[in-house]
Amino acid sequence: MNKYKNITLNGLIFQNPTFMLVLGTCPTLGLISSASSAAGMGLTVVVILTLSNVFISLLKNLIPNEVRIPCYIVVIATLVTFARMVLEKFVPDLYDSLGGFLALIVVNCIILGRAEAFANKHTVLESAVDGLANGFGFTAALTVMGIVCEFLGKGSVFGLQIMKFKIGIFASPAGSFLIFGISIALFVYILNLFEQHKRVKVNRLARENLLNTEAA
Amino acid sequence: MGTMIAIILAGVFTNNFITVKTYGICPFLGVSKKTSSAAGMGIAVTIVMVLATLVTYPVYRYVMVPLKFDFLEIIFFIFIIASLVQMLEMIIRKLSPALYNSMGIYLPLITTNCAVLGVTELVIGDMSQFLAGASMNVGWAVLYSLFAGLGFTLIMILMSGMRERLNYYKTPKALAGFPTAMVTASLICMAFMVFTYIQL
Amino acid sequence: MTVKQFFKSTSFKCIAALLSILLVCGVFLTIMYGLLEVTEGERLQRAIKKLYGGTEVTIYGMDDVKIDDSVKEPKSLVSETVSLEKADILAAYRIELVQDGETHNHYLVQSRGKGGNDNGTVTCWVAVEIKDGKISEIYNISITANTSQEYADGRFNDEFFGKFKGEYNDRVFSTADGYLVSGATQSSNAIDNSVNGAISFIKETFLGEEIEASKPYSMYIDLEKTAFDKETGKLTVVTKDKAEGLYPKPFTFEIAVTADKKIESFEIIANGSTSDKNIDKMNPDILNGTLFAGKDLAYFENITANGQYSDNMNEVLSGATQSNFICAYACAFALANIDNYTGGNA
Repeated sequence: MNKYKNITLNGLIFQNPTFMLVLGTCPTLGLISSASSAAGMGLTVVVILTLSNVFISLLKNLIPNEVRIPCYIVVIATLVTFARMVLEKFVPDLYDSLGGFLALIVVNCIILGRAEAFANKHTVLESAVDGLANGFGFTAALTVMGIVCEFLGKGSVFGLQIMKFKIGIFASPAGSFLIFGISIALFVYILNLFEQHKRVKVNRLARENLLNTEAA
Repeated sequence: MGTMIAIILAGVFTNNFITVKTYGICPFLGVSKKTSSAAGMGIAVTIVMVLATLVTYPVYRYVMVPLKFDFLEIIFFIFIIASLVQMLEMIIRKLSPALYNSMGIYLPLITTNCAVLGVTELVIGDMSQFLAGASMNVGWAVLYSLFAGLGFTLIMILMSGMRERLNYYKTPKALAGFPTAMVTASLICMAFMVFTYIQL
Repeated sequence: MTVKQFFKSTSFKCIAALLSILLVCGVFLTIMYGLLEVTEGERLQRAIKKLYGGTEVTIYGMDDVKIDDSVKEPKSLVSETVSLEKADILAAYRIELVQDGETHNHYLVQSRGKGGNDNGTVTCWVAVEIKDGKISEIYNISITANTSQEYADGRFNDEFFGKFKGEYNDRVFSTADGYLVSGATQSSNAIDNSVNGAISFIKETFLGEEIEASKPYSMYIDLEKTAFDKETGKLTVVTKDKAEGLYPKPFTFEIAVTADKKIESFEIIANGSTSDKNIDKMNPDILNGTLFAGKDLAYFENITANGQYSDNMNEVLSGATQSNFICAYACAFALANIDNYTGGNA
C-alpha cells in the first residue's frame, strides 16, 4: 500500500509535473487566463495520461526498444484524437475554449515523459495510479493558477463576475508567465519549509531516542 | 505584396509563437541558457517547421480532406514530423558532422516541440486574419511557418541574451532557475505586446 | 541477408510492431469517427437549441428559402462563403416556428464578422424574423466561434445582446451606440459587423431589397429629421447639432430643387449660428437665398471643397465660415439626394 501512497504523493506534490518538473508548459501558459479552460484542459489530460499509461504498460513487452518512442507517440495521438472527438460530440463548449491546445496534448511532455519514465517499467495498476496522480497534480496546478489569473485579469472566477476591476496584463501571456513563475517559486519555497521542518523534527526525535537509549 | 507583409508581420511580431501563442515553451525555457545553443535550436525548429508544413499542408488539403480522412490529422502530422526529424538527423550526420555537433543534438527534442505541430495545425485552420483577403495556398502556409519560426528564433536569442546576463546576479533560492526565467519571459512578452496594436 | 534472416532481425520486429500499432489505432479511430462524427446537421441543431431554447422549429435548406409572395424572388443561393465588406456569410437557412398559435418566419444566418481584436473575427448565428417581406425583429444571436479574441470569452452576455434584440427599424449597429463590453471593444465591433453583415445579406439576397447606398453629403445632416414635403415640393434639411466638431447648432432649411438639378429656392427656417453677431457676419446673399438660387451641384462641390470643411474655405463662405459652409453643404446634400426623396420624379 505504501508503494501506491508514494506514487500518489510523488505525482501530486514532490514531483508535481507543473511546479517541480516544469513540463507541459505550453498549454499551461496558454490556458490559465481562464480558470474553466485550465480545469477542462487538466481533466482532459488526466484521462489521456491514465489511458496512455495503462496501454503503454500493457504493450511494454510487445514494443521493441528501438521504436518505442514512435509507438508511444502513435498511441498518444490516437488517444488525443479520440478525446477530441468525444469532446466535440458531447462538450462542444469546452472543445471550443481549448482550441488549438487540444491537438497539442500529443506533444505534451508530461504524457510522453510518464510513458518513458514510468509506464514502460511498471505494472498496469501502478501505471494507472501514476497517471491519475500526475494528471491531478497537473490539473490542480492549472486550476489554482487559472483562478488567480482569471481573477486578476478579468475580475471573475470560472466565468462568474466577482469584482468590477481587471488588470489587462493578466489576461495575456505576459501575465501567465508572471503567475506561473511566481507560483513555482512559492511552491518550491513552501515545500522547502515543510521539508526542513520535517527534517528538524526527525533530527530531534532521533536525538531524543539516542539520549533515551544512552540514558537507559 | 500586402498579404506577404501581413504574414511576415503576423509571424514575427503580432502573432509571435512564444509571446502571443505560447507555443514551443519547453525549448524556450530549456535551451535558452546560452545564445549559441538558443540560435541553433531556433534555426533547427524553423527548418523543421517549414519542411513539416511543406509536406502536411498539401497532403491534408488535397488528399485527406477530399477523401474525408481529415480526422486522422493528428496521427498523420506527428508521424510526418517524427519521420522528418529522424531523417534530417541522419542526413546532417552523414553530410556535415560539424553541423551535426552544433545543431543535430537539438533535433530529437523537436519531435515533442509544440511549435512544429502547432504551426501545421494552425495553417489548416482559419487563417483569414493574416491573409489580407488573399486565399490560402501552400505558398502562404510555408511562408507563414517560415516567419513564425524566425519569430521563435528571435525570441529565443533575446531570451538567451538576458539569461546570460542574469547568471551574474544572485537570486533567492526559491526563485533561481525556472521562476526567474519565467519572469524574464513575462517582461519580453510585455515588450512584444506593443506589436499587437499593429492593425494590418 | 536472406529473407529468413530478415524476418528474424530486429528491424523486422520494429517495422512489424510500428505498423501493427498504426493499423490498430487507425482502425479504432475510423470506427470511433463513424460513431462520434459531428455532422453539419448536428451543428445546426446545436445552434438552434441555443437560439430558440426548446421551441420546435422546422428548418428549410438553401433550396427552399422563399417564405411567401410578400418576398421577392431570392437572388442567389449561398453555395460557399459569401464575402461582404465587413463580414463573411457562412451559412443560411429558413426557419419556421409556431409560437402562441402563430407561425413565424425566420431567417437564420451564420456570419463571420471582421475587425476584431488583432484582426481576428467573431462568428455568430443571427436569427431574424420576417413579416410582410421585411425584417421585423432580430430574434436572437449567439456566438459560435472566434479567432484571437482572448478578451471576449464569457463576457458577451444577455445585456450586450439586448442591444440587437427586438424591433429592428433599419438600424446599423456600431460600437458608437454605447453598448459594448469594455475591455473587449474590438470584439464588440466584430460582433456588430457580423450582425450588420447578416442583415444586409438577408435584405439583399432573400428579400430582394436594394441596399441603400450611404447618402452623399450626409456627414453633417441629421437624416432622421430631414424630410420631403410632397405638397410644397420642398425638402426640409436639418443639420446635426455641432456636427462633427463644428460650432453651429442645428440649422433648418427648406430647399426646392428644379427638375434639371438646380436650386430653385433656398430658405433658412431656423438659424443655428451661435450668436446674433455671427448671423450678422454671415454672407447676406446666403441669408436671403439669392446667392444659391440657380446653382448646380458642381458649384457647391467647388465652394465646399467636396464637402470637407477646413479652416481655409472658399472666400464665398468667409465671414461666419462654418455657418456659411453648413448652408452650402445642405444645398449640396439636397441636390445629391433629391431623387431618393422624390423617387426620381421631381
